[in-house]
Amino acid sequence: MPEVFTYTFMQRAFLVGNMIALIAPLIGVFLIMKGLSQIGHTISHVALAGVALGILTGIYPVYPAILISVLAALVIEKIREKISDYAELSLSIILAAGMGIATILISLSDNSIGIMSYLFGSLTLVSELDLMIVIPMALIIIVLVFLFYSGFFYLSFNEGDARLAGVPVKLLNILFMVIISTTISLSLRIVGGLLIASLISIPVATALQLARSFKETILYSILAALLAVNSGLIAAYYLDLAPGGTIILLSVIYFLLASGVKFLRERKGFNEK
Amino acid sequence: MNKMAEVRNLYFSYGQEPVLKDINLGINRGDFIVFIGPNGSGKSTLLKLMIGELKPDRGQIQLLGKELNTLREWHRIGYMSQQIRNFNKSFPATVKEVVAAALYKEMGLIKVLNKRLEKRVDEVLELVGMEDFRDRQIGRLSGGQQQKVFIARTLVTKPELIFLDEPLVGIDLNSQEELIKLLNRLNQDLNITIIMVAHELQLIREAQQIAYFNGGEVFLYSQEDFASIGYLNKDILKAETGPEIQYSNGGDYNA
Repeated sequence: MPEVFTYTFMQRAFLVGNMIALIAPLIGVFLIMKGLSQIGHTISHVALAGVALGILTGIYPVYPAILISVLAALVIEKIREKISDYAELSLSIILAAGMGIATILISLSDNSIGIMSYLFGSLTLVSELDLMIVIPMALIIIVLVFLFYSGFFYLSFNEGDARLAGVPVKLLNILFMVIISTTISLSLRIVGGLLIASLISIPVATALQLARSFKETILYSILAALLAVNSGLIAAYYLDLAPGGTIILLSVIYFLLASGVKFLRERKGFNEK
Repeated sequence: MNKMAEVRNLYFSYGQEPVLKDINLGINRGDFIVFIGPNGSGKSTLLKLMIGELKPDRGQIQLLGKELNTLREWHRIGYMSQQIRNFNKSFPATVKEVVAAALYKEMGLIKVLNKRLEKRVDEVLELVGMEDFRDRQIGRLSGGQQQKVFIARTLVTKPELIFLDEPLVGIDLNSQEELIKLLNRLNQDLNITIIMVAHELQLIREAQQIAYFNGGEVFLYSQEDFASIGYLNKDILKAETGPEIQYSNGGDYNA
């Protein structure tokens, strides 16, 4: 067995990483197609405030991160529903508030290593507890998306038409927000709060280059994320790099490759005509 | 006669601006009625009121014999908005995925397509002549093809009454003709009641009834009466050059 798989901490990192690689792009597809990719960015910064609060008070940081980011997501959803014209602006304000609170809480704490691991992701710090939380929560998220698949699909395609077709728009939007914030909070440990929004969006962008249907988009984006996370973790281990950054840079490379394939495919199609 | 839709003493305004005043309208099963009139005369507004997207200031609306707030059989009603084709053109969904989404209510506990519903999607695509485009991405189709797909999506729940808001706008002439034939077939062969906003002469000529909107009021004509007052022969000719029917004499089509 290669050395990278022999260490318990790496085995944990791979397990958590692969679960995140399943759920981040899965919800990412719906989020991006709804035109709400900025929300991922905002929630991840707010979740950092939760992490800082957890470290300061000695509570397992993922819990307050989930709690605070879910609350923020519900506020965002309310704003989006009521004043859609300024939705973008309100996202910036919430992001700033989250980051402001996080910075103050971090300055009050003396555990800067702990914070750093949530900002940029860490391989060595993935704990048994992380595993116990991430795996069941990720499975719940996958089941929920599967259960309401057509509803989420219709909401991303056209919210107004979905309402007329009897899709419980309000309920599903709230559920979706809860799922996004939970996914982001769970991902903080491995990818880091500053980069998780990229793991939600870049694999989806990669998939969009190649997919011919919505289902294929979901499938390809999960494959792209799995590839990025696994190759990223291996590279980070051997080259001693920050895992979050390595994973994201590799996803950008896979995106560029997919764009190249698309370009060649379209040129071939054009020549055949 | 079987009443499909009824509007009684309906008033509606946008803020201080009255749009519809004391509107009364009855639509029976199998009717094909077109709403026409100048911009801002309340045609689309009445359509939106009738499907419950807007709330009236006063008055009643009944569909299938029931007040809108007590109506549960929304699957028996179809609606195609004017903005229906304003979707993200790079959305990766296929024709089949878009049509299938409308079957949400009929899916079981798990909201995915089963074999029976898949067959329904195939049948309705065949009805509109789009069966060969089933696995194509919707954003890559022409305007006319997209409109047929949206008609298929409207029909997949087997509605008895459909509302269409400007279904021919932005579509080339050949596709317009095909769509008009399709609407006729839906109305005559499948006995689907059609209520629609339109300004295209060819479409107005196909309707049995014409509701002319002006100054907050609605005047209802049969096709014969409407033709006999010379409207179709005179003023409407201008419609073919512009996006909206022009009323050269301020809406007094008897002049």
